[in-house]
Amino acid sequence: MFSRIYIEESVLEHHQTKQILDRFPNSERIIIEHYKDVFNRSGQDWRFQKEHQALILAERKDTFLYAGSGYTPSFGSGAFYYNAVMLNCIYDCDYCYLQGLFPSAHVVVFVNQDDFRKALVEELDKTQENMYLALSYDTDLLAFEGLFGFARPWIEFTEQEPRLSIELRTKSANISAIKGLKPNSRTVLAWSLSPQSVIDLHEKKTASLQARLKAIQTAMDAGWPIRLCIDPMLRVPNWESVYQEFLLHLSHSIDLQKVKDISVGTFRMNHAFLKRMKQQRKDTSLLFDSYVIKDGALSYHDETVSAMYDLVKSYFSDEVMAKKLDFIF
Amino acid sequence: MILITTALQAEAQPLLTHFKLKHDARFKRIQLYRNNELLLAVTGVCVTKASAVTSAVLSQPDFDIKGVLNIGIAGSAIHKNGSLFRINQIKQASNKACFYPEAEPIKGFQQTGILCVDEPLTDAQQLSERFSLVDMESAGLFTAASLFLDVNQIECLKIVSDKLEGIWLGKEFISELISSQLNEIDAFLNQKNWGNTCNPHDTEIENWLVLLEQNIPITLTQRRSLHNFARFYLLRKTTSGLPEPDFSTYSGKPSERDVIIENLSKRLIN
Repeated sequence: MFSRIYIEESVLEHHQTKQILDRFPNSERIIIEHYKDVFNRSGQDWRFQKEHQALILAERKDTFLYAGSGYTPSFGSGAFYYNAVMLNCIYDCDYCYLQGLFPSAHVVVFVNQDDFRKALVEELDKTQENMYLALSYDTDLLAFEGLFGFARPWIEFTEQEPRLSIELRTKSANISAIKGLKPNSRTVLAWSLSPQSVIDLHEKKTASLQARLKAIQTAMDAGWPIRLCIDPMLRVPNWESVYQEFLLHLSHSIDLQKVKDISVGTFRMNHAFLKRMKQQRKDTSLLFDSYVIKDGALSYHDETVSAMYDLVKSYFSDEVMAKKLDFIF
Repeated sequence: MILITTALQAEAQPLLTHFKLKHDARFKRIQLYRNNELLLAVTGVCVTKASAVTSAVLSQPDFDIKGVLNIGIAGSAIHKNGSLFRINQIKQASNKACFYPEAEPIKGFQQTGILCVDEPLTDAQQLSERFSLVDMESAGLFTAASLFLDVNQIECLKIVSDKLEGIWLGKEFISELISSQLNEIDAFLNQKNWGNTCNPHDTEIENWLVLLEQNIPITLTQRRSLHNFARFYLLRKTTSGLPEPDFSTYSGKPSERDVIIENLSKRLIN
């Protein structure tokens, strides 16, 4: 992994840089001035880079916090924000919006993690609102935890900030990476879940469904608040039976009553992102389905979305479970 | 095809012999050579010429070039003469612009950055660990090639020829330097992945659409949608070809056409 590491000259001496470089003693190191010189180059081939992913170590100089997008719910936990402590992911999901958002598939790590937390404290001081922060928005932080260890200090930080709630969303099974940390009611561990056949076809390099379920059970037993994200539901061939089987398996595998909530969404994508993704790759049917534009985003036709949501509702029909469901759109 | 560029005829000569390249006379003032897989263009010395010649050759649609490889000599104050380097960054001295070929790992090739200057450089202080080589073409090559190709399709291999002494290098000496690295150049060409530029099902979809258009005039929007849906259909159903449209209800009216296209679209996406 990461046979090439680009390093901004200004962070060469940063302690985080040194720690990361120690993990990759055989990687080729290329000194650069600014991460955007490499990350924002024109003429990059996303698919090619995904096969030869490089790591870029950089310093975030501004914009440590973003207001959340309307496509993601805040689960009633205050004003929704997200940050980008890393850009891109080691997984290779066919539907991932990062393919349309970023010009490069290389992974950017901002080594000045403390500055993100300082900015957050300043924002919390300014506002009287509670804040809900999605930490793994443009990456999968838990998947990287064994390499960079960024999730752990964020969880410890959240414990100190009573008005802050964070969500760590993952497709990994890497719960052991935060073993030993005290569970905190304001740190929600969220797992994106899909049927195994969807994982095989469209979520390459991610943990299997079984491994994710096992990790969820471990986290739940330890006392972490758990969010299940059945998102995005995809219109794969015979999707009804594929998702029926999946939901049945899910209800038999974990104690759903102990889950904090279940977020459900169907495939949706910013129009411009999908256009870019279609230019980059023509090897996955997902990008070429028939979509309609709703509120600036492309999504399945209403009847498909309704049918998908009805299917999920039918499996969580009792009153307690129904209250835990949160449908996006 | 892969386009090799060299600045000098003396750099090109060993490659012409090694790859059995024949002269191609399509350009009056560009020395161009080819076999079935490779093209070689001699650009002349300097950024502008490297850029102009690279652009001219890449503009030829019938060559279907999927990669450009610049091979040439370079000066260095620290590396041994005869050492071969793959270039991972290029800095144009005149405007400080930096260019980054993708330079994904290829085993056995050491990498460094190169400073591209407008006049021969004798001041070793201008080089650094990061930019340890100097030449006079790489920035022009990269600028031109990146208008046509992705950054993973542009490569430079440089062989150290001098210690910036400012002395004249003879043709035989330059040719010998290139000759000494022919095995490495072969190895590089064998290992290099220039990226897959062909898309699955393109030909099948295009032929199907042409056949459709011979029977029924479709709008550009309809064509674009059908193209997408046909790809969706083929990617989901790998065992069967595209469905045959039914034109029996078409007598020339646009409304009939629209119904046929709608039905066809439904068959493709359901």
